[in-house]
Amino acid sequence: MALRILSLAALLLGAPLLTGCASTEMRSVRNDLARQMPAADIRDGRTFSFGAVSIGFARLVTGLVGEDAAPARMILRDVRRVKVGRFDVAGPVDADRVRMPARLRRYVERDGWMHLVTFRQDGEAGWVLYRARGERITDLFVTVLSGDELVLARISGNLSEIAFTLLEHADVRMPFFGEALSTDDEAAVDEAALSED
Amino acid sequence: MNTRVLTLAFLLALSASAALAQPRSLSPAQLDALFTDEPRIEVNVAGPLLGMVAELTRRDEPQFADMLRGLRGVYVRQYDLSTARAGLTGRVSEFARSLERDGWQTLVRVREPGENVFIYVLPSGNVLNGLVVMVLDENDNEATFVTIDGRIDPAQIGRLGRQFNVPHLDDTRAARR
Repeated sequence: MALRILSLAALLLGAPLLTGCASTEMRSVRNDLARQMPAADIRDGRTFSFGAVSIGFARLVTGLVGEDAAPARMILRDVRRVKVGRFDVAGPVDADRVRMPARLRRYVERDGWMHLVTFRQDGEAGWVLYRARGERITDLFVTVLSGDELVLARISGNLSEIAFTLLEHADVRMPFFGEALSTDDEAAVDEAALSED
Repeated sequence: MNTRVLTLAFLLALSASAALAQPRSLSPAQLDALFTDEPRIEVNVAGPLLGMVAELTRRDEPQFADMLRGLRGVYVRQYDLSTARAGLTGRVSEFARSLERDGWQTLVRVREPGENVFIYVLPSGNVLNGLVVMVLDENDNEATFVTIDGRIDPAQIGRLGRQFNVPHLDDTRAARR
């Protein structure tokens, strides 16, 4: 009995490390960018994939921490899978000319993903894609390439619910592309508009 | 069988004519053709994501959330002005004229040294059915194009501009007066 409990504990503790295997998806994006920028050196980095076991373990840990970790536990409840990749980059990165990697383009053109954001600014380039099922956002894929690193992240789950949970617990006003103004600021804008008449 | 085929053909023709009747806006391909490089910023907020933004905003601003629900999409493309092909200003003015021909109305038109701003709206009764912003800013070396597709409450335009960080859109109240 004790051995079984120990085995289970070892499995739970080791799960986050055991799932740190290379992700073909992440390496494919990395290789595409490396081909586009032969002068830059995108090195072999590390990719991690956290699935049901790892996330379940994390939820278990947050359950032990107490009420302080309640928002984290609620967020983890809606996360199904997380993949992260990080690669060191050296040499010149021409962020202005780098194109969306072929794998991401295929996601948009064939696999029902939607292209939310592309940016190429201040030596950095990035792409954000998402996928939805009905009204629910179910997947998010973020790629950020800078002069010293390439970071990739894919998160799957009920992401709409996560956004609501974050908003509820962080007690912030809607932060999207523009910062929402406070009521006082809105009044100031109206006043300024009137004074221009 | 013939009746079924005819009905299908009629429905297809009807949907095609409805699509043709819809006044055109700026297509990404049209804009990309004006520049040698791809946009440095591209944002496409549509579908379920727009619905999510609406619901996230509802707690603080229910009216604004209702308006977001009526939108089909918010699209932003910003290019490096130094990658513009020859005759950009003329081509943008031509876009503006073609919008006018399709029933769009000028909300703001600014032609200043170093900066050209065009804001067009598509009126439909008391609401707007679309909004287009085109900004050529030589000072910041950028060309920005924004298309907002869907029903827009004119009273919420400034709020919309601030929410999605659309250049010049929060100044429109002053311009309308």
